Amino acid sequence: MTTRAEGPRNVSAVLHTLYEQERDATVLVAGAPGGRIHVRQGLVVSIETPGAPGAESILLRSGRVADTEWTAVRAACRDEEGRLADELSARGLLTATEFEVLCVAAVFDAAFVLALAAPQGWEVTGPVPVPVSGPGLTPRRIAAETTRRLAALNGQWMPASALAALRVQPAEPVPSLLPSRYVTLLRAANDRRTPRDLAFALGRGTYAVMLDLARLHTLGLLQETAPVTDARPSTAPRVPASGTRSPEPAPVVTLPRRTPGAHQLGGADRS
Amino acid sequence: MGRVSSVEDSLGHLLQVPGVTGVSLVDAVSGLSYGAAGPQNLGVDECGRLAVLIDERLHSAGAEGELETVVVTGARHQLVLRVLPGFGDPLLLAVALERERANLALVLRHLDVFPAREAA
Repeated sequence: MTTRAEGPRNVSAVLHTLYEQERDATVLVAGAPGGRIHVRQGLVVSIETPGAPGAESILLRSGRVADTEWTAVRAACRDEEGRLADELSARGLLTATEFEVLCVAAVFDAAFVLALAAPQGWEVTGPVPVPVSGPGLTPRRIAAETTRRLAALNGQWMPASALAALRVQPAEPVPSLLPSRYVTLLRAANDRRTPRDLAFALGRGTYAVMLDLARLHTLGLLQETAPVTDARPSTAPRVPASGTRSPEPAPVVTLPRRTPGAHQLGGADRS
Repeated sequence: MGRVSSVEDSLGHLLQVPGVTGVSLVDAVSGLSYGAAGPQNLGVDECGRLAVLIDERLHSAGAEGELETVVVTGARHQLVLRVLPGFGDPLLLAVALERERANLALVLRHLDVFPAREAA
């Protein structure tokens, strides 16, 4: 990992250096969630992270392009970078503008998710092939938008990093007089899904889901949920403290055991 | 970059409508600007928030269905927000008009055909 003192001090600085050098590269970001930032001629064309749905996943989840059509387009492009937009447009599946909007939205969403936690490290490698990529975005624009998003969320319910880990549940009953986007989100929120899970389930951006959740909280439509800690599950044996043994130990109930040889069903001794 | 993106290319067509002084395409939820054209720079984030608020309040007031167009009229200017349904979250087309020169009905007609024209 290139986290040396003399090198760039954060991922944003790494991207800026690559931009100035107009390099083709892939930045591997370690951490939770971590990801891969694809840079072409110094510009960010795609970011893959498990923390936010990519352009492909949003497109397919929405049903705008069917799986089979998408597979055919991908096969026709043979993973040649930059051909997808033309191929989708030629087949009348998606216009160049729609594809651009989709890719740009996915890059900013992924950049926002990567900014929620400090990375454990990063590594700049040669360019890794990226099948789905949009127009190149400058690191400065990405940094500015990410800052805007963090500020927009932090001014609301709770800090963005805390909200990202929250599992929410709608307050009952869900009012009927709501925009359909809110209704869909409330129906999907089930106390087990984090904003990231909801984003994947609904084919939306993680930031957009978090923003909507903060708004729904302001409108009093979410149940208050205990904050989730980042701590791993405990692996230490949990035993009752001495002297606090329950007065009546539960009776040990054992299941009836089969006695070998006692039954002759099938008539065969299998041992 | 000198290259004009597909979005900005599409928006450029709307600038040819008389009275239109600025056009932006913005994500209606996140407030992300996908592109803009024209001399008048719109606060796209604010446009997004305005549309979200109007949508919410209209539903609270009993309106059903999806918000389509918001027209704000001032003494000299008009602002038209048109929600474009797409995959994922809706997009917002924000159009600034000079009231004396613009024909609102004509502008709305152009916005109606914008998605179709963009696809052509």
